Amino acid sequence: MGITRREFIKRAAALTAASYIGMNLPDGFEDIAHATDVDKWVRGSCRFCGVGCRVELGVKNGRAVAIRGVSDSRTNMGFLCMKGMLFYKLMSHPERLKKPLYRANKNQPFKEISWDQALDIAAKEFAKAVKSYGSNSVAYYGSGQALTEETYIFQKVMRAGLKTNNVEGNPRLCMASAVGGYVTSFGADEPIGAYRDIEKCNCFFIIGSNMAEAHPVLFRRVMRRKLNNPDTVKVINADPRVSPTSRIADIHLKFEPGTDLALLNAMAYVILDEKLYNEDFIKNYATFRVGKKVEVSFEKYKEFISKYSPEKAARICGGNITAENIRKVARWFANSMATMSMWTMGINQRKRGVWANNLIHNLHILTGQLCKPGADSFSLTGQPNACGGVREGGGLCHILPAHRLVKNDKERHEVEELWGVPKGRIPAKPGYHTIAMFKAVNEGKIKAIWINCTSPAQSLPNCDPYRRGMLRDDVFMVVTDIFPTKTTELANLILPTAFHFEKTGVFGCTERRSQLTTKAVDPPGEAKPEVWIVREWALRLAKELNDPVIKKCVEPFLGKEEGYELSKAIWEEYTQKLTKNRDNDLSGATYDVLKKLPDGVQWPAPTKEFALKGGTYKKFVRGIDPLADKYAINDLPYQFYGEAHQDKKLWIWLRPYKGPAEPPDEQYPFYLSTGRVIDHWHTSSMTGRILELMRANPYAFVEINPKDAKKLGISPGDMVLVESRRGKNLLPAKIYEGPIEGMVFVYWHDMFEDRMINKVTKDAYDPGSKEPEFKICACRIRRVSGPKPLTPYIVRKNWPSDWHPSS
Amino acid sequence: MPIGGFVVMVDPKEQDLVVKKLKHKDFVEVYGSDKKGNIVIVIDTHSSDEMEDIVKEISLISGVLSVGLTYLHAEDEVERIEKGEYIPKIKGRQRGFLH
Amino acid sequence: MKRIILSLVVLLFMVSIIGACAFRCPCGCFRAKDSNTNTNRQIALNKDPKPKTLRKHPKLSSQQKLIACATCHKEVTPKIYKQWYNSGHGLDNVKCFQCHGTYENFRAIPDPSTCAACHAKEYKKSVTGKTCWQCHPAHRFTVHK
Repeated sequence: MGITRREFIKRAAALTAASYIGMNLPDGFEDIAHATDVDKWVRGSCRFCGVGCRVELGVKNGRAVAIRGVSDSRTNMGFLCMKGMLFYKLMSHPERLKKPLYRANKNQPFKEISWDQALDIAAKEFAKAVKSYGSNSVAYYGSGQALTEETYIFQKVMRAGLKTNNVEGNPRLCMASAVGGYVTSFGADEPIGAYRDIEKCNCFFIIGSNMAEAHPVLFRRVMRRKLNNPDTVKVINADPRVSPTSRIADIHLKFEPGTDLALLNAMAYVILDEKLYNEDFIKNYATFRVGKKVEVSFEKYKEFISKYSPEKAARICGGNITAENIRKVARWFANSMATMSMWTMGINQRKRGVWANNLIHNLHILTGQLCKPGADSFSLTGQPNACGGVREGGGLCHILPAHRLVKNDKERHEVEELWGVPKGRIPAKPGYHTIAMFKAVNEGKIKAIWINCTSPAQSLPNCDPYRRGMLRDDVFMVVTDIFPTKTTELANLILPTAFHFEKTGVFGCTERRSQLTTKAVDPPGEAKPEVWIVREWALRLAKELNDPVIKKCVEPFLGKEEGYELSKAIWEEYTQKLTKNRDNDLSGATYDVLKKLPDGVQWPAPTKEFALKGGTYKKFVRGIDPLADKYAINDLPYQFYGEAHQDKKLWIWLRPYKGPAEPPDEQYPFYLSTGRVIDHWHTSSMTGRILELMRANPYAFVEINPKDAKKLGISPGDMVLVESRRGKNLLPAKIYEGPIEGMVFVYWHDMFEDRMINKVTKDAYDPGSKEPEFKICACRIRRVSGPKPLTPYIVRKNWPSDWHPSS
Repeated sequence: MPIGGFVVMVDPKEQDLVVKKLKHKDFVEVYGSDKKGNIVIVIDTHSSDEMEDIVKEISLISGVLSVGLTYLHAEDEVERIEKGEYIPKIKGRQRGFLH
Repeated sequence: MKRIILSLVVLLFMVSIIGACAFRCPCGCFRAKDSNTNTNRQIALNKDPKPKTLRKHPKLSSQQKLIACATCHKEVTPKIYKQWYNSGHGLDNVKCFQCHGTYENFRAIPDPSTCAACHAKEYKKSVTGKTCWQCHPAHRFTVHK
């Protein structure tokens, strides 16, 4: 078994002592994952990022005591990152919310109340708002961390019950531009290929992503592919900042933030100029578009691109971009056997995020680097269930479940029929998008808002005005969460929820794979699964508003046990009714099927047999994608049946170069970019409470290029003021040859007031996707003092001395 | 390096506090406790002298009634003594026998 | 004279309580000057015959405990840091505390079952009585070198 001799002797000593007094030794071996010390291993997904690692939680005496990766999983292959390895310690953390808390006014302290009282209050307040101000005065702001079943039932009650499309989620802040890019370029959302392409890929183009820290277990696969084939596999890393991801890169392209649209167009220039494009692929599968979908010719596109010579792009981009570098990279991209692009927030969180996505897709369409093994234009998703729950489950203001559009009358009525609610029940127009929603809160237009499993007080760009808005006493705020956060501080009603593995549900990860996590332990105190909360709330709403249709929304789920059966019933309705015959058909992926697989099912998976094999590895390819065969319009091997494109073709978009919304100027001469580190996740409400992770990265710092630091007289550890037109932060300096000269970088996980960088960022957003530009704004920095001792935000009384990591 | 298994008997009212203190003591590992005021610990030190010192410290913690050794493994230390690497101090009444 | 007899008595007392244990101790850190060195122990100690592997991390202030392990260990144990940084673990950001814990649950020599969190398959198949690093030397963890 591999136990050390010393450990053996110690156990013998302990057992002897215990036997003297007739004591059975309980779980004193918690922080060790001993196979024999665990009652059962329960399979599920990791709680954190969009990779979708599969794990097994070790349970002993009803408590989570260990975790290990699932070796047969096609996502992580048994590996875990530090966050996945330790998250189970949160389950019994003393700060878990255990009872509903309520205050009528936001300047009062919270009082513990019962669930009956809490649900009554929630129902009464929402009913009051609807009766006095209409359906448009209530809203739901959800999360890409909520289970698909949770998002689905919430949005059903909001749309068909309360008759509002004010349903949004935090994926608006991270993935909306990727959605926009996929829909406009390929005609349908989500990647064509899968992780499997990594092991066949010969050229990685990693742009606007620090995979090594944000998607470490997926990065491991890229790293392994590169290390096994150091000469034949090329890695291109394009990022204004040198990051741990750059360690495996053959070339690091450093450019000024926001200039990457010029870079991407210049790469297209080289591909056209040196005739590196795939003529057949373009002829068979692509057309060219400009503006509002106006079709143009290939010649027009060539004319357009001729303005983006590598020499011109090099001038725009600065950094280490030279015409020669652009040509080299473009040649690698086009000539390799299989090229895979991967990106996350560097491309999405931008004023022109959709365009940036389009330009990457363009390169793949031009060179035919799509649909064959190893080649794909692969957007990495940040949250574990942004794809499955929000993008597919209907969790944004303009979409309905299974990739339907609110404003498409036929599709909207179809949903009403499937739900058995009267025609016309769902409003015909989309609701408020996220920034508009919180602006509406500020203006008193929204009277009741339910915030689920996310912390907009910290995660919204330029967060201070929105925090002030949420603090209004005429806005009734319900917040469902597991821990106190910056957002629960602004609530009227806080409802404690069950954590991952304390309830059952599906997460759909980056590669279109839906994976099931089953309940392993009971939630602490009176915490409840969200699906139960919504059902009970809906029943009371129906009474308050005297509206039986609201009850109809949850009727199929009445009487179901909340830890498993209720989720199962919701998943059945969603997959069997809503996704059937849609492009994300999951009707073959029943709970029984999902439980049989080590990982999960990639849609489309219209039958159980097909789902049991794992589903569709690559979309649009005949013989692999059942819908490609079903919707084939000719004999070609690839069928782009995406709903958004009537001509069933891929669209190459003519997108001009546009810079950021707020570039540096005389007053604010630095670029500010925000991002992540491996040790923390999102608002660190979870990772900040894991001792090992908190110590690994206790507070946010400002990364400054050594040349800039020298000019400004800043030494490592000095306290630096980072200021923009909107707010300021006081952060310790980290001098690191990371950010390009003229740029500073700060991570956004920290909750400490002086280190919440979203007080400084700008809420400009992409006009198409409405996703904010977190990645670029203008700031100025100045040294304030020498190093000072700092305190991490999550400080309990006597922390850490009265809390043991294995307790 | 001796390893000793001990039962610490405490006043049940102060048990939680004592368990916490023991958990943070160097060289001490708490393996479990029951409702009757018994705590099972293992002390793993460089030398028997150190172990004795720790036992003394524990017995002085408020609420602790007794610290009883139930199992001792001292093979390593014995080998070291045999090789002359370590000469244990003989304490207590033995001092009276010095010539 | 009496002193010698008494020390012998104490010795006998201790010897008589020795528990039976058939394993060979793979961790050589407690046998620094043992002339009976064998290759297993050498590997476990990174080929350093005179290790100063402390079992408990030196005491630090709570402010010092907030410095990431690698930041100090880059200077304090540069050889180990370099090995780790250039290994698969280092490249993929598997950090010190994942194997060694943090201060309150620190293990200078981790329990091999900790490796099972990511290497469950290999852990199940591993040779009984041997630790992972007897064949995959820390901190490079290359295969059999």
